[in-house]
Amino acid sequence: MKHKGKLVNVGLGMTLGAHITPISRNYIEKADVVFVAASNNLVEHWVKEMNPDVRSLQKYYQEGISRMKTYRKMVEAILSEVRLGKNVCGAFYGHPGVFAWAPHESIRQAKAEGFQAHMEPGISAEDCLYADLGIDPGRFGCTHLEASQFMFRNKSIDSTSYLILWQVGIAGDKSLSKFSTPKEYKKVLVDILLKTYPADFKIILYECAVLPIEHTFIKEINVSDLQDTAISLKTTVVFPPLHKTTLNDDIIKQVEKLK
Amino acid sequence: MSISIKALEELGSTQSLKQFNNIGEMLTATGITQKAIDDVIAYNKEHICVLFPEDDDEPDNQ
Repeated sequence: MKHKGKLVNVGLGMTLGAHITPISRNYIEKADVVFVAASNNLVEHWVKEMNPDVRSLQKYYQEGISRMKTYRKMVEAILSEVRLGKNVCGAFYGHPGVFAWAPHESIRQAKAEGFQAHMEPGISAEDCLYADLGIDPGRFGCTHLEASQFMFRNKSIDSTSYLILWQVGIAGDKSLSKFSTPKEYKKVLVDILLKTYPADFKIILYECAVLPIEHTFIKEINVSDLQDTAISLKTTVVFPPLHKTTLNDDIIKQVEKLK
Repeated sequence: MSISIKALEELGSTQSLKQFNNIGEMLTATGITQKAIDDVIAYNKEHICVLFPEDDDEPDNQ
C-alpha cells in the first residue's frame, strides 16, 4: 500500500509561457506545495502565480560549496513535504530529467519509501537546439556529454556524428563548487578536443531564449578560440560531424545473406 | 514586490520572436506595450541553473 504523500517532478520548458505542457501546469496548480528551480527569477515569479505555496530551491546554491550538498538539500526539502502526506510538485526548468540529478533522485527516494512518484517531461535545451540550429540527431547521430564528465572520464569522440558539450562554462570543475571556471580549465578541454578536431574547425555556441523577448544566441567560433571566449552557465557547444561515415561492408554482406 | 508577469506569459504562449524582425514589431502585433514589458524586465535576474553532474563517488557512476 502506497503512503499518502505524492511527488511529481515536471518541466517548465526553456522559454517562459511558450513551453510548459498542460499537464505540468495542472500539477503545479493543484499541488499542496511546489518547489521550483528556474533559470531566471521572472520564471520563478511566473510559477508563483500558479500556486500559493511555491518555494524556491535557488537558496540552496552557494559558491564554494559542493553542488552535491546543494542537490541533496533540494531532495531532502522535497521529500520532507512528501513525508508529511502532501501532494508535492517539483518544477524544474527545461526537462526535469535531463542533466538534472535532484529530480531523478527525489523520485527514486520517494518510491523507495513507498510514496507514489513520477516525472512529467518538459521541453529541454536540447529540444530547442535541434529546432534553432536545424539539426536532426538522427541524420548523423549525436553524442551529448557534460563537459567535465567528458574531460575526466576518457570519453571517446565519434567524429562522424555531432558532439554536444553541456555546461562548458564550468568545464573542469572537479570540486562541483564553482559557477564558472577560468580559461586555464577550458584550455585543458580544448587540448583534448584538438586531438580530434583541427584548430580552425567551426563550432557553434548556443543559448536558447529564456524570455519570449530574447533572441536565441548562436555564435560560430574556431575550436581553438573556445578557451578565450566568454561562456556562461547556459552556453552549449555544438561540434558538427568532422568526418563522413563509411559503410560496413562485412555487416551489409552478412545481412544480405539473410534474404 | 509585485510583478505583472501576465504580459510576458501571453507573449510567450502566442508569439515567437523568430517571426518578427525585432521586438517592437512583435509587441505591435500583440498589442502589448513596451512599458508593460520594461516594467517586468526591470526585475529580470538570472539564477544559477546547474543541476548536474552527480558526484564522482556515487555508486552508480563507477
